[in-house]
Amino acid sequence: MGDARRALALVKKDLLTERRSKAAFNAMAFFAAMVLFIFSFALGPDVPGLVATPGATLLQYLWPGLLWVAIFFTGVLALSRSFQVEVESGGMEALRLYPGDKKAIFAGKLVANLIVLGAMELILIPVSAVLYNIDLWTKLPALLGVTLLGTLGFAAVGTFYAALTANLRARDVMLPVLLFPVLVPVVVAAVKATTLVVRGDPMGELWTWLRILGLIDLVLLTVCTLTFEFAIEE
Amino acid sequence: MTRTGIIAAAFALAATILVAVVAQGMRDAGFITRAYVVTAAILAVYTWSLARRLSRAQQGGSAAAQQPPNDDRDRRAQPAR
Amino acid sequence: MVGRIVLFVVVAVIVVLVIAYGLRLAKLPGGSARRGGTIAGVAALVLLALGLYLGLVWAPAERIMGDVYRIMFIHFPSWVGTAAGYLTAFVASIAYLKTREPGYDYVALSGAEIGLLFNVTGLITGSLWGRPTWGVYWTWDPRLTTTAIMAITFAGYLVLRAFMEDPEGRARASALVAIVGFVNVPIVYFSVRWWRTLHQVQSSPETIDTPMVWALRTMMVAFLLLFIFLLTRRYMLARIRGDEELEAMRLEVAGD
Repeated sequence: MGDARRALALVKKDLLTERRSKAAFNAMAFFAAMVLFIFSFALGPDVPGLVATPGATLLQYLWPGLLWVAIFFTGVLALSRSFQVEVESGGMEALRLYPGDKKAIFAGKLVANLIVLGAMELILIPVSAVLYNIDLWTKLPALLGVTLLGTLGFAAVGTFYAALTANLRARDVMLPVLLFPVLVPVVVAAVKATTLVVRGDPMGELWTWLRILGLIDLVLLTVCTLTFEFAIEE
Repeated sequence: MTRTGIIAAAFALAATILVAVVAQGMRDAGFITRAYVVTAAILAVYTWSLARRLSRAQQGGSAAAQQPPNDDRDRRAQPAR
Repeated sequence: MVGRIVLFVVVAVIVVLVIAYGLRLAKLPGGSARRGGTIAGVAALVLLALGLYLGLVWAPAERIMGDVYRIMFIHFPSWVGTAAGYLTAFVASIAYLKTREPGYDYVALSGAEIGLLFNVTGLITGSLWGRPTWGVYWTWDPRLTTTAIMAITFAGYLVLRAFMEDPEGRARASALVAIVGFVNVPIVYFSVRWWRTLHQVQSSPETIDTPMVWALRTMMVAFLLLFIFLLTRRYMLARIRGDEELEAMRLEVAGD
């Protein structure tokens, strides 16, 4: 069985488990909704505030940043569970004894996490756009591209650190703590790119930022793939 | 009270006095003094603590070798971390 | 131009020596490391005394900034200690993953902890220098942001270790955190730099007068020596505790 097929088998197994455990997805949905609503209450739905573009509310102005905050906070819930099933059923041992390259395991888990995060974003983006009155229709392709690249970087380091912290009781604390500093470049680039997509790009910077984000993803993916086998040892 | 710790504390104290004296009449004397004093304090406290832990570990080592290890106490009191 | 090359070579040589020293340390049992550290410690004290005199008494006030620039004599040297610490932790972590020698784990831990110590003094002195000169305690410029991220990364390193009891698992996991975290540092720096196209103007050592340069260099070497002293002591402590831990585990297993 080739490495790619092993990875795919892992993806399928993970997603089936996820589908059966609705609890995780419900927790994420509830959390995301709370984040959106809290921002709305805190920043006021109709406060003009100090904005660069006339006619835009504070929420509209801040939406790119708020979106990614919601994605990252909600996403961490999903990521911390990505090895949960293995740990609970004693499956980490099985993962370790899996024949072939450990990189296939990383690839499988990464893809599964990407799909879960993507599903979450497919709901989060339109809902937040509606709640905050943002017009996304014309910008959808560019936005999807940015979201994909940002989520890729997020999922890469998230899967890596999830594996690292899988066996800890303090996993829910340690995963965000370890993840946050490594996520900063992704945050910077993704929020910047999203802002350019949504608010207009007079100087044509979007392509540059997409390349930056892509480069960051490449570096993170490389480092995590190379060191993943050490992360699931023992 | 280790020799290293005392030296570190004394040095930090001397540095503090030096800065306090020299900074008299300087503009922004408060910031200068605070920066030096805080740095000296942090470094001295850490050095003191490190020296004390080290000297305890070096003495405790010979005693522990003669007793059967009490695992809980060992792990809680003397982690290698 | 020549000055820059010389500076670069000097820094590179020092970096290599520090790393080599750290790696060598890992092979030493607890007692032998003591003397090298003590020598460094004594030298550090002497140079600190000299540097403080040069920086606080001998060097003149600066034309524009007045006297507050003197904070730089402990601010830049702090980054020397920070860089030395994290670099040591990075290299030792790689060495650990390759060889699984506990000594490398102890060196990595020591480097990370002392690096964080200097990281904190660097942040505090920077903040206290920034307030009177720029008017703010903090800005989100690339350098400050990167140093804050470094502090969080290696604080996370230490916290992770506190949560893990198995020595090998702990060494392995924290080694990964150090490696990925260290690689992340330039990535953070450049992404924040591209994001913030506006810089703060900071005076670099080349634009300052000769007496200040000497005070600065003295303090930088002094802090490096202090780093070596603390590294050695911390390593000794880690080795003693680590050996005890391993011994306790061995006895536990044998007792069954």
